[in-house]
Amino acid sequence: MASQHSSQGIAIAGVAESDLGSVPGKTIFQLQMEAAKAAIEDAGLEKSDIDGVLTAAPFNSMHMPSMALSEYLGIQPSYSDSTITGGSSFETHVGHAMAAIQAGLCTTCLITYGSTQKSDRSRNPQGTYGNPEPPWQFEAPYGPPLPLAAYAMAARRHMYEFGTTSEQLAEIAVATRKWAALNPKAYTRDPLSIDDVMNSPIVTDPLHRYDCCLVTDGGGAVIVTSLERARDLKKRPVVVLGFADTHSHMGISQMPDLVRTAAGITGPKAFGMAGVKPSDIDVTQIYDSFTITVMLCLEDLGFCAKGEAGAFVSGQRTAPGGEFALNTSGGGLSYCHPGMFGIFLIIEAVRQLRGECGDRQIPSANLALAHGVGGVLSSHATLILGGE
Amino acid sequence: MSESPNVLPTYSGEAEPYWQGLREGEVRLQYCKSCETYQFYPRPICAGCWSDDIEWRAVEASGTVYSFSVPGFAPHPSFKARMPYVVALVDLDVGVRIMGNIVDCDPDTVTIGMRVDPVISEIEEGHSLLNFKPQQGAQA
Ligand SMILES: [Zn+2]
Repeated sequence: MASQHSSQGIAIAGVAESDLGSVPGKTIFQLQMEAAKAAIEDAGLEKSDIDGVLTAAPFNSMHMPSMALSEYLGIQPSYSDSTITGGSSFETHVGHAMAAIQAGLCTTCLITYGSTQKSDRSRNPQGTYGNPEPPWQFEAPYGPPLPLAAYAMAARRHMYEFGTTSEQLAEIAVATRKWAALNPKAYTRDPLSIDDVMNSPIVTDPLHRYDCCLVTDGGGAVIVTSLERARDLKKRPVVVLGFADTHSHMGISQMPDLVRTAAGITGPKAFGMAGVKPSDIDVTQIYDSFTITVMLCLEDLGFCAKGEAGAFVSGQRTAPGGEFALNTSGGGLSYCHPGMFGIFLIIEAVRQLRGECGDRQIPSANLALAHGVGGVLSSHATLILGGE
Repeated sequence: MSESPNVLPTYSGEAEPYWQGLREGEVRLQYCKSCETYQFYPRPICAGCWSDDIEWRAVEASGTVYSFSVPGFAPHPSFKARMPYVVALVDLDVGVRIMGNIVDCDPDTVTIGMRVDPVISEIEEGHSLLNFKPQQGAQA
């Protein structure tokens, strides 16, 4: 079932996390080395098999990410990629790894990410004051806490256009927490109710505390190689069936329409490449930086009509046992969120397709979607993955 | 200037006519004569059609609130004393969207669709911002 447009099938052969949660004393390099070693072992490969290195780092935590990381890991790659588009970077890296392998630039790619955001206490919107990118000149003086205010304005606009409610947003936080309760690695596993979300403090109106992702430490790694090679490795290959990415803006004041994201472009393209449709997907991982992010992407990816995500998620339809398996790891809302979550969407999708998810396993999952979002609803990257 | 306790705009040469206009009490935007649209933020050429046939024009700068948020915390110490304040995206009648604070009103009365007029606010001497206030009797 290899992609119809590709000369050569591409697969994900290994995935792993580093230590997650709160890991004081470790650096982002240590975390990435931990994750990389574990992912290579997961694949049944050796370090010497890696000839492509792709990584991204938030803000200014790494100056030349793939170069610095390659040196630290002791790898001299023939393909090096530091593409950074925020939280969607890692879905994009899979697309780039696919293209590089198909072009013959390399054979086996390592994608990594690591952050010590919790231990650094670095999710401080003040840190973005002084950002040199042009839209920020015309936003910073007005005091928007970013990215929060951007997502808050999108949520308010969605409420205005479609009658979406805070309770409907809370449905996502509550359902995601129920998945986290089934994931031993999740950071927050205590029960959460709609009332708990509604009664939590307003962080940036209209978003409540539990509408917002966690701040944790952690890292992850993904190994991409040819399907042909992956078939000879330790784990069942997970095939890259579809991929598309784009970005529509940098600053929120430049976003064309706050309730219609570029997932409306990447979704149909990725589905087209894979030759499948939204209703074929068994398990879906959508970047849940905020509950509103999930709602917008459910609509724009075509899982429900525009404006209907509130009804779509109501009645805990996305919780364990519900009709629509969404963010089964517990997501950025409850499992982990070390600055950027994109790589963890891929890790969970792969594990679901391999049947490795224990209590949270979706029975006979054969088709998964992972959708990353970066910036302020700015970048979108959709991956469609399939079991062999 | 780096000693200012306020968040001042990061000035760039291409945008200077915009900031100069505000210092002189006027909203000036770039207009592309080739595709007949205004653009914001300022650039050396039109970002839509890449024509360099652009000029600065003074505009009325009234508009409609597209969306807004009231931050629950101050992202920079200078905003603490101003809480609660409204961060909004305003669709100007001339066809550009721009961020601003909605001032001179109770934040609880701001709504999407509300008509607003420009207010030029001096943050400190030599530094002025475009903000907005509800039009007389305006409710969405
Ligand atoms: Zn033009």
